[in-house]
Amino acid sequence: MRQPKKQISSVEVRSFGHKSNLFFNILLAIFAFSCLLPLIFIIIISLTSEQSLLADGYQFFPKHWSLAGYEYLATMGGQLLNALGITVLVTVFGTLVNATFTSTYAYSISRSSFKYRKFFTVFCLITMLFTPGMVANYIVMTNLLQLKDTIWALILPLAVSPFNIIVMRTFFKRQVNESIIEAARIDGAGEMRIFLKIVLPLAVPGIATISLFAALGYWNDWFNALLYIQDSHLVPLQYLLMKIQSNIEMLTQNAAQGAQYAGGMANIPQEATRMAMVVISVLPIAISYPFFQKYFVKGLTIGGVKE
Amino acid sequence: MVEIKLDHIYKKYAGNDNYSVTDFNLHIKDHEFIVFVGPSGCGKSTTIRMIAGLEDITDGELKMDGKVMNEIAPKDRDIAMVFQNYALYPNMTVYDNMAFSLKIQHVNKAEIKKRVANAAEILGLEAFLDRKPAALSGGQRQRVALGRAIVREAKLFLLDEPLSNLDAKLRVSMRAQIAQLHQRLKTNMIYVTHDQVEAMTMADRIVLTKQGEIQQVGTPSQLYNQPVNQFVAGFMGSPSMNFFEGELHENRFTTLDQQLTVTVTDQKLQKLRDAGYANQKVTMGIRAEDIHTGPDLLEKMADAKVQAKVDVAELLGVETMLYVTNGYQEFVAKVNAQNTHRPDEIITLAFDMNRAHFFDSQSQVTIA
Amino acid sequence: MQGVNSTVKAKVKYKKRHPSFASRFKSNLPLLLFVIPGAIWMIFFFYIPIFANVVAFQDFHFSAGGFLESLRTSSWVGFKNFEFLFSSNAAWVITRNTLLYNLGFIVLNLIISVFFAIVMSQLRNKRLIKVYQTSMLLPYFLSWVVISYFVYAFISPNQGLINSLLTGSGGKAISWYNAPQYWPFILLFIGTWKSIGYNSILYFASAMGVDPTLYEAAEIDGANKWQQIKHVTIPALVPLMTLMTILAIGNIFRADFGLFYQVPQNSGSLYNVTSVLDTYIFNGLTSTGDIGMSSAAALYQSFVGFVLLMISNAVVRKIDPDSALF
Ligand SMILES: Nc1ncnc2c1ncn2[C@@H]1O[C@H](COP(=O)(O)OP(=O)(O)OP(=O)(O)O)[C@@H](O)[C@H]1O
Ligand SMILES: [Mg+2]
Repeated sequence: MRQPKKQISSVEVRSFGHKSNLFFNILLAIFAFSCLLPLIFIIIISLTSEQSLLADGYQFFPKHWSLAGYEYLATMGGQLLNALGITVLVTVFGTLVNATFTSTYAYSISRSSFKYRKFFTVFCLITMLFTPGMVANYIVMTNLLQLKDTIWALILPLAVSPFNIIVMRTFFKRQVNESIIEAARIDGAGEMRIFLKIVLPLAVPGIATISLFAALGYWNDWFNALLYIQDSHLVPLQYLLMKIQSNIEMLTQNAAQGAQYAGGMANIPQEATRMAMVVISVLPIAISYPFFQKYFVKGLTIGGVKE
Repeated sequence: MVEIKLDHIYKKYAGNDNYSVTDFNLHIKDHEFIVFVGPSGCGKSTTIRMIAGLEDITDGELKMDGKVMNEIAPKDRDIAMVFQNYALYPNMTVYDNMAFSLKIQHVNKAEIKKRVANAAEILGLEAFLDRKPAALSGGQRQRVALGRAIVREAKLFLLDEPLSNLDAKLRVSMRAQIAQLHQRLKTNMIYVTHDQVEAMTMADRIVLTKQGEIQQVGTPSQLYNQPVNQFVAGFMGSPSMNFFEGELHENRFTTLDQQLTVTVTDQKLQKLRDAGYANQKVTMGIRAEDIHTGPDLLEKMADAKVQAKVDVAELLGVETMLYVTNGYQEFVAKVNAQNTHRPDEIITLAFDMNRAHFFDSQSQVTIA
Repeated sequence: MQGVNSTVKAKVKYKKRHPSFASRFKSNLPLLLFVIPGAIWMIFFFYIPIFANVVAFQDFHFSAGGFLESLRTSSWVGFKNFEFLFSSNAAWVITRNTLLYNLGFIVLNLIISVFFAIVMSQLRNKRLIKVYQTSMLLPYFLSWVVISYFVYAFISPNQGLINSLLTGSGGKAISWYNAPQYWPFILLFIGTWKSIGYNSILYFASAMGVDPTLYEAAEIDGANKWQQIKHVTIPALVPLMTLMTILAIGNIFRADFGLFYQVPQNSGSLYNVTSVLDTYIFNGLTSTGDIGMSSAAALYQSFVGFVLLMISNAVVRKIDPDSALF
């Protein structure tokens, strides 16, 4: 029973006069541009030739452009590809797990006919009041679960988000009328079918939103790698970037494997390559989130935490 | 098609201290149209939902064709249900809404098509089969909800206030459609409403409840003409029956303020005396349409004439509704519109004492 | 007459036929299965770790025999770890830094994002608003590692843009990563800049939910633009502002690890202004290996955070029960 959206944008009542409109437009434009600027800068650096970088530092208008950074990345293979692979794997699988577990849990505690609803709602709410803390989590992960240096150490810590559970619970309650579920029960549908055929289609904006957040969380995660990963085969992209930032030589060490780089060891465009890697790691996000924004904003407006 | 027995059914919701349904007994036979009626919160929905299996039964037994159904899942009860807010699946087309239950039962495609087409034809929905519910009007949605029930070919239809979200005109036409549907399908129907007009016009038998307890079960005319207590008498009929608190003196009934006195008919008087109410306090009830102003009737009912002041006169067409006052007592009369009356006019009315009811002032049980 | 009699015997109990436990369990089973994975996760990533906080009262050492073995073999030291923690200078510095930065974020975020939200809600060009919002969201979606590269591009001591501008105009280059005096500003700026887009969209959505007839009514009552904002828009945003602030206060003892660790590149000479509870705990856990002390700090952090959340919620509930979190 989706209600028709009320028309909210009657431009005339709620807008500035023309002068202040212009002023505030300029203000916002400046800030909005400041949010894009650093990325643009990084892209420029990644396209600057190494000589320019060494001579003039990072510049918005470099003397010499070059694709060397990207060319080197292409030949580097090995570690970069591996890190990218780990990141993609963790992101895809983790998002799937997160979206599934979060929405099934939220759905169950949204159903007033679920007998254990109160218990599991409180069970989840408690986790939001208190944080176990980094040390305790670390001990449990390494000592109890023995997950150090496994891919699970990158997936499991982010596999469920209690906050999103509560948001989604409210979302389900609002979006899915209990009587629709009752009608489906009388029509003979089992819980699984009700969830998949009736509830999920109605919850697409909510699920898209939590999936987006989960995916971003996984893609951007380097903290769990920092804590739990030493094995170089399990290093995700963000963690690789982080290691390279503090130790740019890692790039050249790595080059021993990909030694076929035409310029020879000495001419490796370290700075540009590093920035090229940053660009590569940002690109998927920068390209995709504007498309999700519609859901995301919708998800925000409906996802009030309170009932 | 199915015989249903509710045997001492009780319902207490968790977190609610009171019983929502107490000692509900009802025996529904084949092909009956039963209407549950009663004021808001009296447990109608609760009862119908227990029959559907959507709520647990706290105590008592629900039997269908002799089989205890308490723990049978809704889908195995062979019922169809229509909800007040329609409960259509918003993501499915009208066709898919109706076909959903059949698909689950793995009915073959051709058969599904046939049944949906049939239901759509009965309800005049052929043109909308490809639309989503959001693109339908309230009445159309309600018909889809009915269609979804029809295609099931279930033994029992449960309808929980199916028309209360519709406007008055549509409600009347849908009422007729549902009645026709019942004729045509020959299934049992249990219909919930809080509107006594709906109950009167549609029911084979009415079950009138109050605060979780059955007050009376019977045909519309039984409830209207032989109410078992003052609550039933007051609930059935519009406007509501007029009640007068008073005392019997010999063969006359006088209100407590002594302003109104009428003669009780011999037949009723006998009953009252037999029950021990001679010269006792009683409540008299009389319906608006049993109070007259026509000169011929005034003459005929000479010993039940009453003076009253007109407060408001509402012209309804053939009839006029007179809201009048006698002493402290206000009451309503539905009189022939030919006799016009103005506010503040003092008029004489006659009570048709053959149609008066008498109730115990305390227990409100009908005496005569 | 049955109905009448039933008034009398209403509360008489009949033979019991309660739904059996088995049938109830069975009908709840599917939904139970739905919560099980999430519940297991909460056990391993919340309830057991909460219990594992007892290591704060131990001289904890990892044992090869696993978790329980480690707990059993480590000796109990009571509040020793806390004594060490609070007698060190670090406890004061990290508490101060964590609190002040977070206070700064709460205030800046609230003012700026509400301001942006109101401005956006009043702009005439709906298309442009979309563009602004999309741009403003970008930093929010990027990792702290990437942000730290952004910062580095500007303030790298050798190649950074700012230093070359400084030297270009005859000034002296600054060794940013060794100059603590700039960092409070840098951190406040970066932290706010990253989250402002998200927050202002949140408030924007709320501002757009205001019934337009309220503005019309205010207009007819002769309110000017500013008065309309003050009397219609801002009151409508107050519940969300309260909610966000309670949440933020509950988290005031939790610093954004990435911001304080990665953006200053964990530079030792900046510790005095960049060290917060989270980085302190992390460094204790990984480099100095002092589990006792960092677990004491972690428990201190959780406990105070919990207390603050409770207090701020209680205060809000006193003032306006509808805005309280619980
Ligand atoms: N889930 C519930 N938990 C507790 N009490 C309930 C619940 N559902 C209904 N009740 C109570 O049970 C009583 C009967 O409710 P029910 O919904 O059956 O009334 P109804 O006759 O259908 O009324 P209406 O005409 O308003 O629909 C009411 O007093 C109601 O407050
Ligand atoms: Mg009801």
